[in-house]
Amino acid sequence: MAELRHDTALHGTRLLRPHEVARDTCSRRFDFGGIPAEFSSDDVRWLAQLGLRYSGFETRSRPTLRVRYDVVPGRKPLPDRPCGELQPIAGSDGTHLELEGPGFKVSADLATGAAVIAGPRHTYPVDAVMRELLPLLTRDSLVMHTALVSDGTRAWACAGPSGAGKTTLAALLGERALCDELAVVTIGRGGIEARSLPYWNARPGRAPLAGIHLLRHGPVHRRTRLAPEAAARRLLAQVAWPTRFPDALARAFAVFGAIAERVPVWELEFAPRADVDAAVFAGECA
Amino acid sequence: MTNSESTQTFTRFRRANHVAWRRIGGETVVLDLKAHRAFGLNEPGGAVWEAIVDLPDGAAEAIAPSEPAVQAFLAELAGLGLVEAAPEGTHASVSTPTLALAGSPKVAWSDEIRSFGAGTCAFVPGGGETCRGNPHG
Repeated sequence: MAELRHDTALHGTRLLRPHEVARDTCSRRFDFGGIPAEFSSDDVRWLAQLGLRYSGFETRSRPTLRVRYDVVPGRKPLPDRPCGELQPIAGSDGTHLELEGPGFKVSADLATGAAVIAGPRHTYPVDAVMRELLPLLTRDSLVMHTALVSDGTRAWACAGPSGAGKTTLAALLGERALCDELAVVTIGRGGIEARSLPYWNARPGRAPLAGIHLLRHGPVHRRTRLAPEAAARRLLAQVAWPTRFPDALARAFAVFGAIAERVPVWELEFAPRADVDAAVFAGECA
Repeated sequence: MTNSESTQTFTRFRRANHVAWRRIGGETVVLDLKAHRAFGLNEPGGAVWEAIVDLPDGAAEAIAPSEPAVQAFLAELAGLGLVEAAPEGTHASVSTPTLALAGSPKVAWSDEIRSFGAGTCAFVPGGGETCRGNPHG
């Protein structure tokens, strides 16, 4: 049964839709920025890998997303750097996505919160798919390309493109770093809150968002407050936008505007020294 | 903004249906939901944009300002797909707004927006091994 499902999923004329695949008893649940996701598979080795990948983010909460993973053996080797966005392999009807990446395919139904991935015994397809789905599943939230650091009371998002210094800064701050790649920023009744996501070096954490730093390397630590319009333009490039669906994109843009107006944003030039914490955790007037 | 009688000799424009917008600081940021591109309008440009009033039924009221700079700006927005020429008789407005602008309305910048953020990579190399590290440093 399992082999038939594998063959059908990858070599048939179409990918199986989530409701067509039987549920498996082996599963694990992890929290992605407040979205509990359950992953099930026949392949216990893959589930063990997933457990290591998302260690620390386990949850017992009832899942809002259920992902079935079918391990398909004998796939061709991955490209050296399989980067890029997932490509659609079928039209979207507003809630349903069928996408493919290097060596894997995914079918997701956002209305029911179910997805099926067929791919190799590796966790990277889940990384890629969750990055795609999270911006569509979160409401009143943005998924940002940012490290997240906290002084124990408040959090700062430290954003920037690859190479800007997110991982370097997170390493310098040690235990005060929550993640170094992606975080969720949510507008709620109590204010604006940031949560870590399990990318790449990460531990679970959440705190009120005190500010956003746009990072770049430099010879000294220097912090410059940005006007909201300048901050907004720079931040646009640091958001994982839900571009598949216009309605979700419009919602995310509304959240983005509120964050750009309400959260102070600095450009933070920093040198790789341990005393960077004074610049990162400085108050708004510093 | 004040109103004067329309001469009916100027092109009328209304916002495209596939845009979202918001004033942020001194600029108005307009997002094309189909083309996945954001546009920053300077303050006078934002004033022109906001002069296009959304009607309760969802249709957008057209404006037909007489100032050449504003007409040129709206033509530029039309070229970008952010506004469109309104067919005659599609709205009740017969007035032509005269905008008191502090300068020339302009599209100050435009940037593509992406699903993954700029310069990011979704995948962890490792040849089948579980990887906990950032592959990009």
